Amino acid sequence: MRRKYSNEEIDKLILLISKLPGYGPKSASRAVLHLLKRKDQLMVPLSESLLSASKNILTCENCGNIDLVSPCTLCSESQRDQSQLCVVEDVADLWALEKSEIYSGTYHVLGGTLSAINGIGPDDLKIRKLVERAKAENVTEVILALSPTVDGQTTSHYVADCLKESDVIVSRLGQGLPIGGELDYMDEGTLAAALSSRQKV
Amino acid sequence: MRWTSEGLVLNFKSHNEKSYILEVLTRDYGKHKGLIRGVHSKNIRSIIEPGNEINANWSGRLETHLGSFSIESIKPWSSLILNQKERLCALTAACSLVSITLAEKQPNDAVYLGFKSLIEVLTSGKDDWIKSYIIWELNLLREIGYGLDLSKCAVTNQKDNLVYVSPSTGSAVTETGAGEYKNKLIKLPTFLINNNIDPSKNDIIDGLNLSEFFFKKWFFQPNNLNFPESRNRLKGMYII
Repeated sequence: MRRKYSNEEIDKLILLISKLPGYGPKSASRAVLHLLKRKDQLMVPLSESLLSASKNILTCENCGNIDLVSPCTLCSESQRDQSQLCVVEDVADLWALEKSEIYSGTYHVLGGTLSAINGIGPDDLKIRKLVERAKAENVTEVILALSPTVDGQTTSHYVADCLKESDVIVSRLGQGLPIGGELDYMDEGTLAAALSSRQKV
Repeated sequence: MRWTSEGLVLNFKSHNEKSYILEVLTRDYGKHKGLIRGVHSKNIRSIIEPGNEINANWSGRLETHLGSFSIESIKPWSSLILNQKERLCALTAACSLVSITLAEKQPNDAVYLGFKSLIEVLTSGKDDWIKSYIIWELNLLREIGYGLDLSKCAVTNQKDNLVYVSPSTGSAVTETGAGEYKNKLIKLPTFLINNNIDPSKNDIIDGLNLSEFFFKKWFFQPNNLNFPESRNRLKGMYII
């Protein structure tokens, strides 16, 4: 019989933390011991923060972003360009674009991409809401910022077809060489995309 | 156990944070799965897109184990057609059909070479790729054991004027042989009999309907499987 060196509370905590990205049972035990050593400085504020976040953070009913209010701050900011709507796969992509401070329009989070192998169909994504927004709001351009992968581009084509009825310009992000990339390290697909979207200097 | 073979990526599925389960149609070992690590590497992620040609090294303790792949890119076919809606849809439909219909670890040179040449046609810029796609689907149907007999009429034995296919036997039927049953028969587009004819839009729909009917009847329905969504979308692009 294995000796028991911890109790149910600790085991439960380790089990829950081990489900977080990047954690396994071993690293979760380290994290739990670290938290227990710093109860007042870390464990209590963390638990309060987790509880508060779980109570207060909402998914925006309009764009799918996460915020304390719905519609979210990005949707209700009046200085944002309401004529442009950028479609992204998930909130992490929205954060990446926002961090870059190069886009000032509104967003729409699809919640993934169409994927036959993972069983994700059009009804699992927020495509219907996007079409509604494109028709109802003062949108003139929808920018499809989806990954240049087979699933990402399949989704792009599908969304573009769904938006055909709406009176909006549908564009996608450019494809080609990354900044700092060296030509001889590029694969044929990237080179083909870069060559087809070449620009006059 | 360890082997190396050229192959075509069919799909990949997340296994955990750091690895995918990759499915490849290999030339020497048939359809094979294996774990692939390092998915955060941009290099690996771009190689394992469906339809890409790779050199796959598989290793596992026993043949029956999942094992793991290490791969090298030979040709990134899918990236050449990312912006071409119909061709990309045909590629994903073909990958889904191969993944669902083929048995694991059963090498078949005809299927491998047929699939590879279909991908080459899809990415070549040729306008009649859809004709090649429909013919490929019928060839795949034959390779999995459900081939259609389009050589002569099942009723009159005539070899000319074949315009229908019997839904029960998969044999061709002429206009005269069809008689009063022609409403119950499936249309056979002329380009499937005479390869020199360019298909019209209706011929393409008839061709897609023909292979779809027999795939569903003989494989998907008996195995209680859904017909691939990407294949439904491909047909939808021609119906509109």
